[in-house]
This record gives sequence, structure tokens and C-alpha cells, in this order.
Amino acid sequence: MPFLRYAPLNTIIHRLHPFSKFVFLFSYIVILSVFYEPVTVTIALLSVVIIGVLAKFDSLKTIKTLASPLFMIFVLSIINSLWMYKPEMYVNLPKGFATTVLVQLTGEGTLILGRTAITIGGVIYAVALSLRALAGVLVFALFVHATSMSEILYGLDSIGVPRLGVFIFMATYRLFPLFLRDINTTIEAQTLRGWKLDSKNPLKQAGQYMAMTVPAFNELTVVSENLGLAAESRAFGAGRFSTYQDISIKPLDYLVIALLVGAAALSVFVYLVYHVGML
Amino acid sequence: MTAEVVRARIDSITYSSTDRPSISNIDLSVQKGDFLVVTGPPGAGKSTLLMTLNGIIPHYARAKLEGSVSVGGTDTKSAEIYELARTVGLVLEDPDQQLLAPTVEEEIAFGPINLGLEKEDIRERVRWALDVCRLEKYAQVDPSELSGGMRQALAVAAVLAMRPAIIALDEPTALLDPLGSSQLMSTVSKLNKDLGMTVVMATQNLESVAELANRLAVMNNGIIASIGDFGTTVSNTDLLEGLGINPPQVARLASAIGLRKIPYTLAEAMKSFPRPSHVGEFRRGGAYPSPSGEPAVVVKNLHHVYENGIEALKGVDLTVSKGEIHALIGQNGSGKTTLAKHLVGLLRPSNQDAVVNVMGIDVTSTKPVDLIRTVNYSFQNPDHQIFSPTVLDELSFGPRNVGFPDPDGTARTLLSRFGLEQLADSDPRSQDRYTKRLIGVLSVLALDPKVLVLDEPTNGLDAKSAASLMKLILEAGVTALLITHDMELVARYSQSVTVLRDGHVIKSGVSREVLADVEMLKSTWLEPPQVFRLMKSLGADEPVFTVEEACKMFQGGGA
Repeated sequence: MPFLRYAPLNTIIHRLHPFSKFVFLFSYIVILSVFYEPVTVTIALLSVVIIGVLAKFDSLKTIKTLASPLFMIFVLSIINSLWMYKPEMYVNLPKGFATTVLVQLTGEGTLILGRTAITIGGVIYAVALSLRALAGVLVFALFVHATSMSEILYGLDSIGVPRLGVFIFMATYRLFPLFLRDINTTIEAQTLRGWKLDSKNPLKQAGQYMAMTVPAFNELTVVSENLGLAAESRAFGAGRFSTYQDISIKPLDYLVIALLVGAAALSVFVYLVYHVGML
Repeated sequence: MTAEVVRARIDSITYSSTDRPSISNIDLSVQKGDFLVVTGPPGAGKSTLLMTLNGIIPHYARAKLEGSVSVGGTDTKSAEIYELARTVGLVLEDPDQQLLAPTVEEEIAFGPINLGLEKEDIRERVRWALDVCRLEKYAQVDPSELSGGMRQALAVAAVLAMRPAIIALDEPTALLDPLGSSQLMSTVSKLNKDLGMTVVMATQNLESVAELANRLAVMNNGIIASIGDFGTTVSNTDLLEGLGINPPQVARLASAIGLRKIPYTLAEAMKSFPRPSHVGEFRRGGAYPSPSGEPAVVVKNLHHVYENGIEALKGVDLTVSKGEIHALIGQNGSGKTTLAKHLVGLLRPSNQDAVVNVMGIDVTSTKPVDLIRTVNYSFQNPDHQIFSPTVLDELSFGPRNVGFPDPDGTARTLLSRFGLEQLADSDPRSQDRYTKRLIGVLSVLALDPKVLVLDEPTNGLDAKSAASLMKLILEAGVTALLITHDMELVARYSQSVTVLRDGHVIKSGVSREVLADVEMLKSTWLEPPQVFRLMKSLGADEPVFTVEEACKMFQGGGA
């Protein structure tokens, strides 16, 4: 997996103080949480891609890797939008345009579901959610790409995060890559015993994936247990973390922090006051 | 005067998954500066005993400890694992169980960071551990991209960097190349002798520790069957061989030819063995099937560059004849597993003109799934292969996928052929290491491939189990490629060998000739079996690689 992997490079982003990188992560969480229409989300997404270029992070490759899950998110979002035919649900979009029905699925009085339809507003909403998911993953992947584990430990410790919090963050940071490593090996082994995804039918494909579900859960349990064991066996939690890297906060960090906090605050402000980012 | 650093009075340890105690009635005392080796067959309780030292048992593993274990005066029941980690560093058998950082350098620094050491101190320790474990050039590499042996070296390096008062190592050399193993041993020995670090090591490789350890405990069925000074205990070759543990080759040879005093190190043996009476008369017989000469595997000019830029293969050529058992040897990270993955199509060449041909099929343009009945691969770690709820399901999984008419029947036939019918309905994951390894190999053999690649097939197995597994492979009648560091295994079972170093083939040919090239082997961190070196020093003009062969030189009767 090219993403969710730390790359020990010496870029301007890598050289930032871990605190700045945490601010980057949390600022984008705020920004992406408030916006749910395509234009603002796209602006946020493009800004992440630009920061990625500075960090020598291959956003395009990550986007390609995520194509299938993104399509799934889009489909789920479309399902979620089937009830978005009411005009009062839209603030910025012209109500008539947003509620234009593209496909009527069920009528009023349909058992449990009621009326459902794919509307233009619903499609826009689904696009925004998919882009938001993509931007969120890119932000986290970029954070992982540019932040070493020791920086994370040191960074969290230096801002007073308790041990348990540090461990939870570290586990989140490492669990998925370690799980992917192990499950990839298991998939390789099963491929050599004839396991394959040879169907175009999504239902059949889901059935084929089922064979991997139990081992995947087993693997996830094993990986999470090992992670805790490996950390404790090497004195994780014994005292304050130190670092072996030259970490100091520089003027550039202050600038970056100011810009990011400013951007997050501005996003919340324009959202609340001017309803920017709403559909 | 010595001080007791470990006192274990264990009535029993019982895992929650079973009613039967895994170990019982242990009364063990370890003194400061001891180098205690714990040996025994798989399932004897060695790992369980080691896990009590840093509190994994009872704090982490689902196991009930009756009794007490005191380490450096601290009762492990009342201390947290992270507190005990300051005193005891534990290297587990499976490196993947303990590696958690995104780069090699960070992995090593993780412990010292947690100890809150000064920056310069951490850097010095990281440099030192990288050097000792030959990982300098991989400092910025993701540990998951390292070979199994290198990951094991990294797990050791990560614990060494913490410089604990007691270091407990569970089969630390199982995946290491012979010279890497001896380098690690000499480091551990140096820490033991110069810094007074206490060492407790579980291993079946008694040869590697013979010159270093001062005490030996032999475990079987959860109890300590024998404990004492290393020399006396290892000389009891009957006990060890009865448990399937190989004493050092020189001790086995001395016992076989009836020497009164059993030497257990090469240096000692060179002084005490007489000159063999039948030097020059020995000729080795062919115990294995003769290859046909027709090529089963042809590789030409194969290059492989990983995404991180590491060039693992640099123009490799390889030819393996049909029916042959061919060994692939070389130092950790020399490219053996990368080459093996190319043979089954899991990796693709980085160059256009590479040839990878197995049984006439161009592997470079064939999907792995379409090759599985032609060439298949048994993984180094069987846990990665095993994933079905029962052994029968595990073995029938492949045949079912490729459309065998009666997959369960195929699986049952295979089980009965190897006398394992009783395992059919049991859970493969809960089996011992040997059985898991066996299941891993059988699940691939169930597909009846023509060529089988086995990655460290006997790793972690005792001598008896390793011999049974090799018998199974011989009986299967496949063309086999063995990836191994076990030189005795190579000498005993393979007709031909290819030696890799840094992604290049440096020698290929008949096993006995290749293994006799000591200087070449040394250049890739390998060395011939101990008995070869002994017999050479005693004037044997024919290379000898196994104890049986050497016996014939002393007793006559060359084949």
C-alpha cells in the first residue's frame, strides 16, 4: 500500500514541528466537518494536494488506490440522499433545481420507505460526501507520510496528552498499516491456493470476499494484541517520552499554525454566519 | 559472589484455552551473569517460561500463573510489564509480533525513547544496535519490507538497544544466516561477559550457544527434565536426541563413535578426536531421487527493484532440473524470498528481458492463480497460510477453488497418506508449530503442483520433526526449491545449490562442491556444517557434511 506509510524524507513539511503537523490534522478535521457541498470541499481537497506536493506525497496514486471505496461511498451517499427531495433541506442551492427528480424510486405511502427519489441536490450531496471522504483520507495519509512515530510520541507528550491517549493515537497510526501488511500476506497465500475475485457481479464478489472476513478479523485482533504487547514490552508508559531527533519549533511553524488555525476558524465563521459550505 | 536475579517457583501455568497446564513444577534460579540456555522440543514450555520473566504471563497472555516469579527482587505479579521492561528485555520468537514502528531506525529507538533517555544516548544506542545486527543500510526502510531473517535481527536490535539487566531471547537465531547468528551470539556473549548482562535463551540450536552458555536446562512436557552446567548437560546426547533435539554435531559424532569424553565445541573436538581410520574411503551414496536433467525452472537475467528503490535482484540466473531438490542459500536479505516470489508470479520483473519459466510456462505473463498447479509456495510463517476453521477445510480449500471433483476426498487421502486422519476436524490454528508447518505444506501439496518452493521449511522444528517433514517432501516427488540457512539440511537433502549475495548469484552447482567452498560461503555469511570443519582439520580429503558420513570415516563402510 503506497499510502498510510511514513516516508523518511527531508521536505519542508517533514521538517515542521510535530505540533504543527497535529494542528494540520485537526484543522482539516474541522474544515472538512463543516463543509458539505462540492465547491468548498474541492477547495479544501486541492489545498491538501498542494501541501502533498510540498511533502513529495503522491496524492494521485492514493486517489487511484481509493477509487473503489470512493465509489462505494458515493453509492451509499446516493442511498442516503433518497429523501432529499424537500426544498427546506437546501440553503444555497436554488430549491427548484435541487429538488429536481432524476429518478423516482418509490411513491408516497410506500411501506417503511415512503417517497424516495434521486434528485439533483442528492447527487450533489453524494459528490460532496465522497470528496470529503477522499480529502479526509488524504489528510490522514499525508500526516502519516510526513510524521515519524517518535515525533508523534514526543509531540503528544509535550502537549500533555495522557499515556492512554498517546497509545490510542499511536495504535490508530500503526494498526491499519500493520493489519494491511499481514492481510496482504494472507491474501497472497490464498491466491496461491486458487482464491480469486473473478466475478463482475458485486453480490458474488461479496461472497468471495466473505472467505477472507474471518481471517481478516482474526488478523485484526492479533495485530492489535501484538501492538499492545510490543509497546509494553519495550517500556511504553514507563515515563516521559524523549526523542532522538532534532525537534524545535521554528518561525515557519508559528506561521503554519497561525494559517491553519485561521483557516479552520474562518471556515467555522463563514459557515455559521454566511452559510458557506451548506447545500 | 553471585546474586540471584531470577527466582521462579511455578506450580503451574495454564492457558485459558486448555485445562492442561503448559508448564508445572518449575523451580529455577538464575544468577547475575548467567548465560542459561533452555532447550526442548516444540511445546515443551520454553516460550511460556520466558514470558513469565517480563510479566507477559500473567498480565498479558490469557494464562493463569500458580506460584511466583521474581525478577531482580520484584514479584512479576505485582509489577506492570512496562516496569519490568527496564530490567528484562524479551525477544519473542515471531518478529512480526513485536515490530511496530514505520522504520528500522524508529523501531530500535522506540524502547530508549520510552525510557526517556537523552538524545545523544538514544542515537548512540541506535547506531550500535544497527551495526551489531547488520542493519545500517536499512535504517530508513519499513520493517515490513525486510526479509524474515532481517526482521528477526531487528527485533533483537530493538531489545538490545534498551540494554536491560536481563535479556531473554526466544529462538533468536531461527531465521538468521549462520554468520549473522554467530555475530549475534558473540554480541550477546560480549554483553554477558563484559557488562554482566544475564542471558536466558530458548533455542534448539545448541551448536550456536555451545561456546557461550554456562548452564543448560532441558524442558519436556512442561517440566525441567534436566538442568546443570552446559557441558555436562549437553553431553547427555541420549536424552537430547530422545527428545528430538540435536546436540552439536561434534557431540553427536563423539557419542556415535563411542568417545569417552564428549566434546561439545569445535575447538574442543579438534583436540580430542582421533584421526579417522578410513579417510579417503568414503563415497556418498544417493539417498534422494536423481534429477532428470530436463529443466523445470529457468530464470535468466532477472532484476527486481522494490518501490523504495532497493534493488533486491540484480540479473539472477537459475536452472533447476525436474525431480531435483535445489537449495537457495545466502545471507539475510540476499534476495532469496524475492526470487521465490517471482517463480510463483507474486512479483513481476523490473526489466523487460527477464526470463522466468517454470515447466515451460512463462511466469512473467501468467497470473499467479493460473500457475498454482504448476508451481506453488509454502510460506515461511504458516500462520499466514492457515485460515480455515478445520484442517480438512484447510486442505480442501485449494482443490475446491480449482475445481477438483472431490476436494474433501483429496484432503482426506492426503491426511491418511501422512497418518494425520485424526486431525481432520481440529482447528489448524491451535496446533503446535510442527503440525502447523505440516498443514501449510500439505495444503499446497493438495493442489499437486509440479514445483514446490519451501521458504525455511524446517525453521523452529526439532530435528525429528524436520526429518519427518523432509521425508514428506521427498515422498511427494515434486521438484523442490528449499530456501534455508540450515547447512546440514542442504547437505542432507539437496542435490544442487544456488548461493545468492546482495541480489547476485555467486555460485551454483552440485551441493557437495558448493558447500565445500568455505571462503565463498563466508563471503555471504554462511558456513559449512560443523562436522565438515572438524573432519577437514582431521585430514579428511573428501568433504563430509553429516554425522552419519563422518561415522563411516571412523568406522569404515563407505557407500
